[in-house]
Amino acid sequence: MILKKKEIREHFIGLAFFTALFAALIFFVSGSENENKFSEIKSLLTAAELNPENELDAATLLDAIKNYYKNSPKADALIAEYFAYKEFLLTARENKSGADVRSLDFSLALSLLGKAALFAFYFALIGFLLFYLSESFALLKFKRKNCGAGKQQKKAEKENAQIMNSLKKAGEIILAAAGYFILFSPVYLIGYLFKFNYENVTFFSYVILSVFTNGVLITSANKFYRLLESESVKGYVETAKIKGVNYDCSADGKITPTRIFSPFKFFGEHILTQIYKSAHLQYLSAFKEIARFQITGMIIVELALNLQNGIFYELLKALKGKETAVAIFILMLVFFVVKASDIVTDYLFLKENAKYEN
Amino acid sequence: MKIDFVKNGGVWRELKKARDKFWATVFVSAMLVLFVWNSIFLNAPAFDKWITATANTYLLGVFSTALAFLFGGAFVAVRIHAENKNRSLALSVLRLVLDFLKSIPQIVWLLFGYVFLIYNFSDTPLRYAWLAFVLALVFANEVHDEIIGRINFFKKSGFYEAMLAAGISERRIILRDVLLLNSLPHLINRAIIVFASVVFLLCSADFIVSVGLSNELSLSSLPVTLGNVLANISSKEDILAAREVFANPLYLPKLFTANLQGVSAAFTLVFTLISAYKISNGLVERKKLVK
Repeated sequence: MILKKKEIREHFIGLAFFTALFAALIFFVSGSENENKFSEIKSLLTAAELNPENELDAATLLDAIKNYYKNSPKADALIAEYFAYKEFLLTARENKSGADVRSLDFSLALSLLGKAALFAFYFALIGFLLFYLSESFALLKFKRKNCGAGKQQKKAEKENAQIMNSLKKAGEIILAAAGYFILFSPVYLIGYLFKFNYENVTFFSYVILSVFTNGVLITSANKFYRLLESESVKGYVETAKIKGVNYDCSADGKITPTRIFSPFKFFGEHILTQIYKSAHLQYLSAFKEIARFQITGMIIVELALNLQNGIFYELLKALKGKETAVAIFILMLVFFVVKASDIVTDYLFLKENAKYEN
Repeated sequence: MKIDFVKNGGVWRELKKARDKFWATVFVSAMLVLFVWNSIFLNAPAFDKWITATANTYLLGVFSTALAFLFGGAFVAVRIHAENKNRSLALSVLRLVLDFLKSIPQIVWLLFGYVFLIYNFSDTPLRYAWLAFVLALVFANEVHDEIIGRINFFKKSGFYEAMLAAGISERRIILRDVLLLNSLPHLINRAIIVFASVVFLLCSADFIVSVGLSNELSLSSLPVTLGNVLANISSKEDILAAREVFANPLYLPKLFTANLQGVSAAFTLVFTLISAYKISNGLVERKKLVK
């Protein structure tokens, strides 16, 4: 039933349209790519059995071109093509990326598909972790800022001895500044600082870096915190408060860190349960945007740390080698991953929303 | 006139109340202090490089944000026109375009933009305009969503319909009454977020390109941004030196004199992002933008 809803239907229409477009582009590009690239100079070299990287062979070829075409523009074009081909071969060897442009054959497509599937798995895993952590940290901040006990605690802290208070505050400021710097740092700075590179990044460190750097966690937690804030001033909360519903965060021990960090967040009869449920529903629908930012973060982790087994490393390699068909194919796979995440997020939102509609 | 900053309030009290203004002041002050510090302790070529990189990053950020608002506004205009004239095909095409722009990660668009720049016009002044264009296109979606969100909010409230019924043109209602008079803080907040995102993406893409495509291009042909500076081996060594502080805290003062290039580029980038986040949050709280 939910799959027939307008939002989901639109995703499938977009998916079908752009898949057809990508497929047409790949078909068009891969047909012309290998034939056009250095084709003339390659055929001359093959016909004369010359090695383009041998100086003597090169001089022979260039002399032959000059003699045959005299000083015509054709001669200049062929000579330029020869030098471009030589540079291309040199670069390809330095990059160890193979001496020729890769064509999009079945085995390459299958290997890229595998890498995209692995990326989709990481993406889902990191997405869940991000969703859970952002909600938990936002709830923690919400409790600290809004709940009665938190305010009383703050008052009591103010009345403490001045020196201890200032020392504590200075320590808190330093810790908060360090935390902000880590959370907002692009991953390559953290990589430099903690000597992360393609040799020592494990599955665990990849996940941690993708969640905790590039500003991904702090911005998503902030998004959920704003939703909690906006819910907390709505009419039903004010009415509940007036009617005496529990709003004190520690009085009955419901709002403990254990409950906040639990995967299934429930705060009993406390008003926070309702606030959380409403904010959670809105956050589900907003998570599409966060997931896109998360993907960007993951790509930066992969490329900045030069993780050579990833799909985006392949994309960079394709861009380097001007392998247009391969680049478009990877783009299509990335498009599928993003669309799949959109569909899943919308499905979860509509499913959750249906509970309240009924 | 003497201003008592601590006890009787004045500027200090005003800043404490308005966190966005407070953080804007902190940001400008920190950048000024860093400028003076670098002019004293950083060698001349590195200082020039830091200044150029910071100016390029900020200028590209500002231009891209302005262009993103222009493109976002244009998308909104097309959408409203198509809705009013019942042009369902135009509306579907617009939706598909926006959806496609959203469905490819922003950094991928930017990497394609960089590659196009490298192979086509890396040595012309057009390279700045091209980067600003790509960044603006990538973020136009966010601006479009923000403006549409504001318009829909007022449409629901009845205020919009009432003005239409009073014979006021829709263009005037949207531009003057909805956007200028009732949504300016929202748009400023969106501009801050877009600016910070542009700075982050630009530096990250520049870093990746500078490291990953260094065989294909001469680094001097790319616009120098903070990402480019951070990709330098000397900056890498400067940031690695920061590790020394954990083992030997007495190394800290040396970090701010001997390893200044990398440290100041990293600080400029990260502090810009933190400040933008704080200013945006402060603005949301002060103007009560979340409802």
